Amino acid sequence: MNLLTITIFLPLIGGLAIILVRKQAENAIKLISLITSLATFALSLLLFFNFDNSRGLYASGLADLLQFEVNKPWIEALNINYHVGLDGISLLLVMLTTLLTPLCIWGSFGAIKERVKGYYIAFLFLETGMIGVFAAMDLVLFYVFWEAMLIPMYLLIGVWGGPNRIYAAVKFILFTMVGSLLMLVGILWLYFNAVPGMHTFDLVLIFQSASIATQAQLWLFGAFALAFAIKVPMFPFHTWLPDAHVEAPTAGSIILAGVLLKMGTYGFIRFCIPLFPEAAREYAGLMMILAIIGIIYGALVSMMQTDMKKLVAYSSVSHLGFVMLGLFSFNMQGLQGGVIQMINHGLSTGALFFLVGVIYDRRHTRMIADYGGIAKVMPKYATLFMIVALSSIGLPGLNGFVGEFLVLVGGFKAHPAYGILAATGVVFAAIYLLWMYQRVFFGEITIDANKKLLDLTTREKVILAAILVFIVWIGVHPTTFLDVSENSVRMVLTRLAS
Amino acid sequence: MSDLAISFDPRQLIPFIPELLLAGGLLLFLIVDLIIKRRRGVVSAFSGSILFLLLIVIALTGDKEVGSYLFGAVVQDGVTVFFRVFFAIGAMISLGIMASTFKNEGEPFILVLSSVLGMFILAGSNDLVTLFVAFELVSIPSYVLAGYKRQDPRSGEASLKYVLFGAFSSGLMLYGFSLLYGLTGETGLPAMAAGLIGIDSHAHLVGIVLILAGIGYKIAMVPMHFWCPDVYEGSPTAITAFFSVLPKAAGFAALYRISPLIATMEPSLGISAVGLLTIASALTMTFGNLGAIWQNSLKRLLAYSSIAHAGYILMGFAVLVHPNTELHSLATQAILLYLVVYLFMNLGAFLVVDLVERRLGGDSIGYFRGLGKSNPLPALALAVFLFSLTGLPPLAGFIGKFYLFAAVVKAEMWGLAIIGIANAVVSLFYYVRVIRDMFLYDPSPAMEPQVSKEFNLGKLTAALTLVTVVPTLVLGIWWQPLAEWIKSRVV
Repeated sequence: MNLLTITIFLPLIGGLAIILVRKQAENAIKLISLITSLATFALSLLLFFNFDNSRGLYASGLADLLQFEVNKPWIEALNINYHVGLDGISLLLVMLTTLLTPLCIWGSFGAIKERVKGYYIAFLFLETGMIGVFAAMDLVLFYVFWEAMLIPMYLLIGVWGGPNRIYAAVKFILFTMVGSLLMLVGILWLYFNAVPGMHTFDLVLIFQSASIATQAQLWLFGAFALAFAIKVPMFPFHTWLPDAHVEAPTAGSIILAGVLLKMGTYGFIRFCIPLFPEAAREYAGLMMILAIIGIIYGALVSMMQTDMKKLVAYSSVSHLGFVMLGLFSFNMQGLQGGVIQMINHGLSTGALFFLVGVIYDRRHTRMIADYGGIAKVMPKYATLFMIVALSSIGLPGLNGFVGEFLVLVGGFKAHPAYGILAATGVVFAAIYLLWMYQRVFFGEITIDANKKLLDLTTREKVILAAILVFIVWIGVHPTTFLDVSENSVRMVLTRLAS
Repeated sequence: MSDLAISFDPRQLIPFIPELLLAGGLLLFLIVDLIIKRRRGVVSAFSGSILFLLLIVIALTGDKEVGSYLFGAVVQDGVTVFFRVFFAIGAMISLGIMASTFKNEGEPFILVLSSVLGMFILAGSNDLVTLFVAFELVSIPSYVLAGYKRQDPRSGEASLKYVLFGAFSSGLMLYGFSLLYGLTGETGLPAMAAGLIGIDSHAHLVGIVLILAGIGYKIAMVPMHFWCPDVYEGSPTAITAFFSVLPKAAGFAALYRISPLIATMEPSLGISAVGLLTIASALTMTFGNLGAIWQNSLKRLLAYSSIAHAGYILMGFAVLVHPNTELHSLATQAILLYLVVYLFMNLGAFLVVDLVERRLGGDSIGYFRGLGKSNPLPALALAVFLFSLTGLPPLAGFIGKFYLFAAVVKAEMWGLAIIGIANAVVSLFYYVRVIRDMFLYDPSPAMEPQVSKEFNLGKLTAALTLVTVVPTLVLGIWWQPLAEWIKSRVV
């Protein structure tokens, strides 16, 4: 069996195994899901260490870049294959997924008390879907994974979410579906027309051929970009995000922000830009302007929030704007910055959601006004919160700096105005996060209920420590990760130049 | 018609064996029904299923004998075989669903059997006269079935509506036939299609539109759909399950046979064949989906959704009459595949609705609220069917839509593709609403005592749920054998 295939389907198997367990045996269920997700992470580490960064140095398509590749016929009648493989970009995103999932599962042990069995099944199914999206190299396979994730995510928000969860869940699934169906039409067009003399969904073959007329490219870019822009979400398609994030349970928010949004940006760098380069150049200005609007708008709205979770949710709009700006700056720094910023956002925002969840579990409120002076009773919590907030702001030495710096350099190279405008977003980020921090942690404790708050438990410390390792690692030695994606990014640039 | 000169050769009947067997079986049923006193329904359903199993085997072995028979009235080709097998499988599941409702009555089963006999003949009809007779044989037992709940005025209303609409549309269709006959002097479909080419008369257009209206009634095509929600709601649920799939598929079989006639329409008549069916498809799915949003009764919701699904299938027919004949094989495959998928998911959905109605007493959305907690298994099954009807992967409904969209994209009919997409999103809204009510809500306080009791499925229903759920799940992931089989039927 291929290592990648096992990594994709291990969570699914774990989820199926849980179906067989009695629903009263909650500890067994939790244990199975934690072990499965940890094992998946271990497998992805194997992938990481066996990955050859030097492969595909001057690649112009995916063929030379893919590793751990499997290509087996699935539905021969339509020439659909089970084709999976990883290049540098997808490897990093798979790693992010497999890292965050066990942390989410472990983090949910205390918070989820109802319908425990269904929760962990949904979570593990979701993980298979997410890894599958990043690994699929056949368009139908990709689409199936992409859509199959909707159902578990819908349930995670709708069943285990907050008071307004049902509205949020329906909004989430409707928004996503609108975009993805147009993408399906685009996929079918590629099937019939992308490779002359052959009907294929195979991404590698489509990359090799790529003689799509400019006019068709413009349409196809639109069809794919809508699906991805909704997922990212880019301004003005972001309205589903605050609802979904705020109503989802903590672990759901972490996965939503950490991984699901990355499926959108991944879509841009995997499909939209390299497959339709002429259209991408045509639309780049528009995309960058939308990205910058997202950066500034998201930051301003964050600043105004009174609810911590909403604040973090809107900050995602801002941060994902940075990623998009990087991807559409069409130079090495910008694209690499965009890729590493995807990982950074997953780690930092994931950690922020987790931290908000920690205090919500204790006080059942997320309003900033309900706190104040918490640093006195929860010193460890306050310290870790500070580090994560600073990483999100982009303090040198932590991960956020690397990504934002590269993106800004890339944006500046594309057009100085873009770089300057985007840089204001960094300033705003400092304002909204530090201001929130000040109001929550400093000053006198004015509310009695806050006087007896427990500091972090061991479980919470371990989970945060696991994320912090990567936050510092990327901050201090980013080349470990930049090297992984470099050749894939260069391939995208090669295709843009030709 | 020089065929008449040929003396009758009994070997001509060989490909007709399934129909003859079914007719013989039907007579046997009538007699046996008089003898048996107890559990007539269960016995009928069981023996009927065995008969259909036999028919499937025979239909499959008769695969090789391709050609036209009985003086050109009947054609046997891959599609005929497909429909025979399809109707037999659908009938088996329908009989099973009915056995829970009609435990002690034999008549409904006999009516279903005779209707299915009509479908079998319809599948291979190659002549307008055969087609019409078969069509009526499908319809007339249905009218009786719709009114089977004699005590219930809604059932009577359903039956009456069904008859009146049916008679009206049969009349329209016959008038259409007569016009085309007048233009060509033929009743055989291939000869007629050949004769219609190049005829630039408005009688041509009117004839086609009238025939389309007649068939459209059977498949609940807008604007011939008005009877559908009322008949579905008024009929016994087990019968509605049957109505929602089999006679509808029979209508599509007829439309498939008629499609060469439709394809002869030249754009100079004012509208091309593709344009006509595109409009029919777009209207049908849009009306169906918009209608479904407002429904509180699950039976009515599924009725409107079945109108919408007819609209999706019509997308395939819009491609099937495209002047580019290379597209026809793909379109036919898409239509047939969609029908198979639709058979399982729609019968499955009605199965669960029927179960809830029998156990809890109603089919309005209130009875389903909180079902996920009190009865997780049926709720889960219904969720699978509804998600599949939406067309979400990895469920069977997805591949159905996938094929249809593939045909439309291949024909580069972008407007229809966009309308199809918009409709899929609308349908998601109301299907998900039911799922939301089942899993995310608690029962409303007023209905709580009635609704929150746990009921058992019963062996038969449990088995039927499996029979419908498994294909809905498996075909979404692995449809290669089915796709190959259908492909070999079509080419």
